[in-house]
Amino acid sequence: MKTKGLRPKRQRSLRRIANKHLERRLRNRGTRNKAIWTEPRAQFIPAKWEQIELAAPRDFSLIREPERLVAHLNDITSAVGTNRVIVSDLRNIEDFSTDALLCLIAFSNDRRFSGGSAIQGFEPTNAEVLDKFRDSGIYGRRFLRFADGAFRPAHGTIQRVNDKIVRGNFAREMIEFATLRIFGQVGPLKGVYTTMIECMNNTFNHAAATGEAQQTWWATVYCDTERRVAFFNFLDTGVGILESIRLKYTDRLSRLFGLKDNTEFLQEVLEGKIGSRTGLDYRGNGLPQIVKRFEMGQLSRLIIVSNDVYADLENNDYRILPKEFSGTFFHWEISYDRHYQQLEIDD
Amino acid sequence: MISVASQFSEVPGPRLIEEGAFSGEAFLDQQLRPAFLAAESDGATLMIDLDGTQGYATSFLEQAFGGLSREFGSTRVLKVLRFKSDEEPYLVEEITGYIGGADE
Repeated sequence: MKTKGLRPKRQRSLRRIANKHLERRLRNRGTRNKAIWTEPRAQFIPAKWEQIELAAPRDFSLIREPERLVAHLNDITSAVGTNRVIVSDLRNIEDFSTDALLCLIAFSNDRRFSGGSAIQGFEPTNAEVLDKFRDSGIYGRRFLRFADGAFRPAHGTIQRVNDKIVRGNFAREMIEFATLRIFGQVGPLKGVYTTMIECMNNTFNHAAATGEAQQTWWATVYCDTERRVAFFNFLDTGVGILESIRLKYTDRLSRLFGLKDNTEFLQEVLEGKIGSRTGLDYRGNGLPQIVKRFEMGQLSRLIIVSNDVYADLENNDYRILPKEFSGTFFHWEISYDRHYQQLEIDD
Repeated sequence: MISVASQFSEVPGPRLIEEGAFSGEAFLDQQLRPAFLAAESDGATLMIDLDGTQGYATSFLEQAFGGLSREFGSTRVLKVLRFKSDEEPYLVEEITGYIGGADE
């Protein structure tokens, strides 16, 4: 702001007004913040805000350490409050997977969980982990400048869609991002496309408790070009699968008296035995379709986390989590070795 | 013949128009129903080419073909429709199931 030529009293007054506007903008910006900062106090957060640091699990991963990651997310959401900045401390993590970053960003950007707080973090200090962290797409850049000065395409991308509709073109872009890096050429992956559309549709129809389309969904893909594997993740922070299903009276009683736990209910949903909340016979096939594509070999390593259930379908590992996960999370992988036929590549 | 990829979209979307672009409902309204009625009145069959797209969600297929069957009955629909799906041959059985299931 230009104050040159004005009287000193007028200059001071204008600066005070500008600082107040700036502070309000920074305060709002803090609650929408997506970036992870290295400084102990992010420069955009007002100095008077209380800072609470929470150490992240050493293996920062939902698919490998679901109990620890869900507990960390619960600690974050429990700590939120007015004029607070909650810091997820990733400095000492030894490894991570992009699904955990996705959860951190999604929850910190959902005001139902972040409340009036800013949620940020410290970057990892381990050099190798830090490289992978910055390359994951968390900062939203598709190309990164490396130490030698060259720009190279990032290996990951994290996307958010908050207009609450199903987007086929978006799914295609993510598939093309992955196939180019893993297979060296762009091509369709039918199983992945179907899965992404089903996930978006599931969010649209079931994530909100009232049945209206209210939820944002997030998706990431990270490509390990050395191992030639692409890791896809999809997340919504809605009510979760098990709160959105329509149970028969006998099943509700079984649940109430602990005769059946949620791992069994989730399996029945995935098998198509539990219908849609709409009550229509011809609906409720989305999740069984995802499982079918996995069983056909079009996806690998399908993992679903929702409410208090962790399900690794490849290893038939269904667990109850000690703490509830707020939302629905899908993970699957595509590898060159197992899926190159889908692109009709001569190996 | 209707080629979904070239005459409708390479990125078939969700079930209903309100849920997003290139929905099964839009496909039924814009392409499938008019072509079905025209083929039926000519005493001809209607070939649906499913190849060339990025893939299909079950809700898209169910709304389009199951929806057609709910409107006109599975017998009439199966008499007219034929399918070509070289890239995903299992889709034909799936769609036939949606058409037959709409009568239940």
